[in-house]
Amino acid sequence: MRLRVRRDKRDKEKVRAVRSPGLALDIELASGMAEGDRQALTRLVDRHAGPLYRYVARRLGPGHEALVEEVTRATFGDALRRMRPYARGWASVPMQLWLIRLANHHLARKLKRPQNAPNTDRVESAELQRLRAAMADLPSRQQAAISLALFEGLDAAEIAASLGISPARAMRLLRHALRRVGEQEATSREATGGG
Amino acid sequence: MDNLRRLRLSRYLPKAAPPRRGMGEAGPPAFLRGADRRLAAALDQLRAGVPLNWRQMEDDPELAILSRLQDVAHEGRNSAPEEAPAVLKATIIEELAPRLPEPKPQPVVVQPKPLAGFSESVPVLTQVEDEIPPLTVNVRLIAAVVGGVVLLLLGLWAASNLSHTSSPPTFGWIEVRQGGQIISRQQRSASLQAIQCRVPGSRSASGQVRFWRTQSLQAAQADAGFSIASLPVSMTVPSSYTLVLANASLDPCDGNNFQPSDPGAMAKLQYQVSHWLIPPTSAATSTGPFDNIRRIATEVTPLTLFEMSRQTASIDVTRGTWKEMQAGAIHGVYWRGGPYRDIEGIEWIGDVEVLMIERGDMVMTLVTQANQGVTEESLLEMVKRAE
Repeated sequence: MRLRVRRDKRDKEKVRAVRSPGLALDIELASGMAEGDRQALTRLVDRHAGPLYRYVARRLGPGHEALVEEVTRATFGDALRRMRPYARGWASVPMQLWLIRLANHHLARKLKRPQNAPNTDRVESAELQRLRAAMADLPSRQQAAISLALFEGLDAAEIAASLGISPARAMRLLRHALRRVGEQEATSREATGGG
Repeated sequence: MDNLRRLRLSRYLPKAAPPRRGMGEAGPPAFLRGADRRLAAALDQLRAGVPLNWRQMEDDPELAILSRLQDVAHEGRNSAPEEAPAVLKATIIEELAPRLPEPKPQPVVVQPKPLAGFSESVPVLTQVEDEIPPLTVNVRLIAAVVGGVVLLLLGLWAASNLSHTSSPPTFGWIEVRQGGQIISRQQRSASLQAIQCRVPGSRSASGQVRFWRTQSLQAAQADAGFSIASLPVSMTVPSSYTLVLANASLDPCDGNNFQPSDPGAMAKLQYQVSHWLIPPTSAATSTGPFDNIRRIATEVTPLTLFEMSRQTASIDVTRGTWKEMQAGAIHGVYWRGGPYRDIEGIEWIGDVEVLMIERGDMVMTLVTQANQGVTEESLLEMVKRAE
C-alpha cells in the first residue's frame, strides 16, 4: 500500500513536469491579463472557449445548451480568479486541461440537482442514449473519465491532468467506470430484450 | 554450477529503466503496470485510429467494453458543435474585462544623450553632453542684483537713522541738549536721589564754578564723598600716551566750605597728555642717531577731567557731531565740535573733544583739544582704565 502511494506521488510529479507547446502561449496571455491587457483576454477566450464548450456539450448531450453556456461562463470566471500560476509562469498543465478540470467541478455541482428533460429535436441513437443513461448513474469523476476517454479521445496522462489525479489512479477510475457502464448496458439490454 | 544457474542472478541485477512518457509522447506512461498500462495503451491505440484486436480484449473485460463503445463514442463526438457561439464568447469577454486590473502605464524610455567630442581619428575623451547655460553676461540680472543690494543698504541706513532719531539715548545722570531742548531721557532707580547743592550764589560773577586747588589728589579725595578716579599714567591704543596729573581741585557742595567726605563735591583733575610716536619703553633697543628726536612726544595736550557723583551733568551737542557710547558698564556721549563751555564755565577755543560718561552714579567728563593726538578711542580707553 505504501509502495503504491509513493508511486502515485511520483506519477503526479511526472505529470506536473510535462509541458506542452501551447503552454508558453497560455502563460504569455495570462501574464498580459494580469497587467490589464484586454487583447490578451480576448485571445485567451477565443482560444479556449471552443474546446471547453465542446467538452461540456458532449458530456451533457443535446438539449442542454443553456446549462452548457452557464458552465462555460462560470468556468472562465473561476479561471480568472485562479490564473496566478499561469500569469507567473509556474503552471505545468496545459490550460485547456486545467479548464476542463474547473468545468468538472462546476458540472459536479450542477448535476447534483435534477435536470430538466433535454429540449431538442435531435435524436441520438439508442446505444448512445443507453450510454448516457449508464453514465448518469456513475459518480461525477467517473463520468468525466468516461467522457474524456470516449468523447474527447484523450490519453492516460491527459485524462489524469484533466481530473487532477495521477495517471495510475485515472486508469483505475476509468476501468471501474467502464465495468459499471458495461454492467448497466447489459442490464438495460436484458430489460429491453435487445441483443 | 547448476545451483548457481538456479539462482537467476538476473533477478538481482538492476533492470534498465523503462522509458518515461508524459503528455504528447507516444506510448502509455512507463510507470503504469498491469491492467492500467494495458488500458492506457488501448487509449493510445484507439486515438491513432487502430481498433483493438481480439487478443487484447480476451482477458480484459474493460477493454472489451471500451472497444464496443467506440461507435457510440464517435457519434458522441459529432453531437456537439466544434466552436462555441460567438455571442457566448462576447458575453464572457464583457463579463471578465471589468475584472481585469488597470493597465500599468508604459515606462518612459529615456533616450541616451549623444556623446560630445567623439571623433574616429582624434583620441579625444568623450563626455556626456549636458545642458550648459550660456556664458553671456546677463546684464539685467546683474543690474537687478546691484539694485537690490543698494536698496537693502539704503533701507538699513534709513532704519538705523530712524532708530537713532526715534529712540533717544537714556541716561541716569547725563542730560543731552540740542537746539535748546533736551533730547535724552533720564531713567534711574528711585532710590538714587540727585544731590541738590549747586546754589546760584556759589558761582562767580562770570558764571564760572570756583574750584579750589588742593595739595594733592589724596587731599582732594579726603574732602570728596566719593572715590575720585584718576586716569592711567600711560597707555597704548595703539599709539602711546603718557598722562601727567598737573593739579587737582575741588568744588565743595556749598561752593565755599570744604567738608569731609562731601558727597556733592565736584572734582577737577588737569592732565598733560603726551602722544608718543615710539613708546618710551623701547628706547633701550634704539641705536640710530635720530632716535632721541623720534622719542620726543609729538603733542602735549591739556586734558581736563571733571568728576561728580549723583549729580546731573549736561552737554550741548548743537554745534558739532555726537554719538552715544556704550562699552561695558560705561555709557555716555562723545561730542566733537566747538566752541565749548565746560562745567567750570571756561570757554574752549577751537574744536574740542568731550567724552561724558556715567558709571554707576558717577559722571566723568573728559575735555581736550581736538586734532592734538588724543582721539575718541584713546579717550574711551582712558575712562576704561580710570581707577
